[in-house]
Order: sequence, then structure tokens, then C-alpha cells
Amino acid sequence: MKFMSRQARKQTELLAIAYTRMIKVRPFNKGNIALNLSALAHACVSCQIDMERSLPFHNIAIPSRYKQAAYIFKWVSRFRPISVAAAIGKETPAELSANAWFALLSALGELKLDFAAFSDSSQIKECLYCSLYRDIDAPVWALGFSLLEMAFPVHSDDI
Amino acid sequence: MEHSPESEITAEQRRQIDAIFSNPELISFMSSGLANDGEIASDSEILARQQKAIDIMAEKGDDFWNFAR
Repeated sequence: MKFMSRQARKQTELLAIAYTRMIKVRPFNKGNIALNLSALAHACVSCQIDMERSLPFHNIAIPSRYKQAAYIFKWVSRFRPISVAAAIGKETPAELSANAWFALLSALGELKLDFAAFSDSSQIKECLYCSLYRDIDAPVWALGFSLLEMAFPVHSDDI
Repeated sequence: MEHSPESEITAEQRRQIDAIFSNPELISFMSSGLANDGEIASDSEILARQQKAIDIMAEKGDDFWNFAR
């Protein structure tokens, strides 16, 4: 339990940093969205518990980065920790999609893919769409993320 | 008479079940899976990947966010 809690706290801190960076640039830099840290922490704790319970099934010590990406994508999509504080009726499509982008951004931290190419593809829209409108099945998305890595391989100078 | 599930297993079924569960190779296979072990990315790696994605998305036009287009 202590390990899970430590991992969840670390994940919460990293995603809070990602959010702070996200709202420094357009289209989220208008001061119209806000992060609910409790909801984010709840998502991270749920993510860690969900992943931990799946690992003993086949003696997995450390989940693959695809699984790590899929489980955080699932739980951030579910808890939607970002609220839109813009005047009602004045929200932009980007602001209304902020949770989907933040969920995908959470997953992208784990994945090694050419994001520039991915961002120009139809697949990024599929990911955002699924985060908004579909249930996320983490084991299936783990396979999906591994295929995205194959489709958009990193270049040698990428991270 | 008290119902006993055991009485509904034939001697042949019992023999086959014993054969399965006394075969360590079979049980080893049935309980194994893809190791699928991963690695823990460093904080700096995670944040760098996210920063890169944020920078690229900042360049997208507003029409990017509209699914209908």
C-alpha cells in the first residue's frame, strides 16, 4: 500500500507539472480552465491500484510502458480533473476537450513515439474522441499504444 | 441423501484431472504468461516528452479541436 501511495503521489506531482506547462501556451492559456488536484490524485491512486491488481495474474514485476500509458489514460479520462471556468457559452472546443488532451498527455509521458507525426495523424483525433466519449479498456489500449509506437517510431535524436 | 459433487465425477474424469494437475509442465504452461516487464521512465524523460507534445500542440490551429472538420 505504501508503494502504491508513493507512486500515486509521484504521478500526481508529475501530472500537476504537465498541467502547469500546458496552461502556459495556447490554446489553454486564457485562464479559462482549472485543475482539481483532488480529482487528479484520485485518478492517480485509482490508476496505481488498478495496475497493481493486474500484475500478479502473470507475475509481472514492472508493467510495460504501454500498460502504464493505458491505465493513466483510462483514469484521467474517467475522473476529468480539469474544469472549464470560462463564461457559460463562451467555451472553446479546445477548452471543452481539455480533459481529453490532458489524459492523452498523461499517456504520452510514457510512450516513445514521434509526436510531431502523430499530432498530424487521424489517430490523435481518435484518441481524443475516445477519451471524451468511450469507455477506456486499459489492456486493449496498451496494445493500441504499442501499435501507435510502431506506426510513429521515434527518430534517433528523439527522447 | 446428501448431494456430493464428487459422486458426479466419473472414475475416468478423476483419472484425467489427476493426470493434468500432477503434470508440472502443463501447470507451468497454464500459469505462465507474457513476462511483459517494462521499465520505469525517469521523471525528466516523462516531462520532456510531455513538454515536446505541449509545444507541438500549441502550434495547432483552432480548427484542430473541432471533430467535425
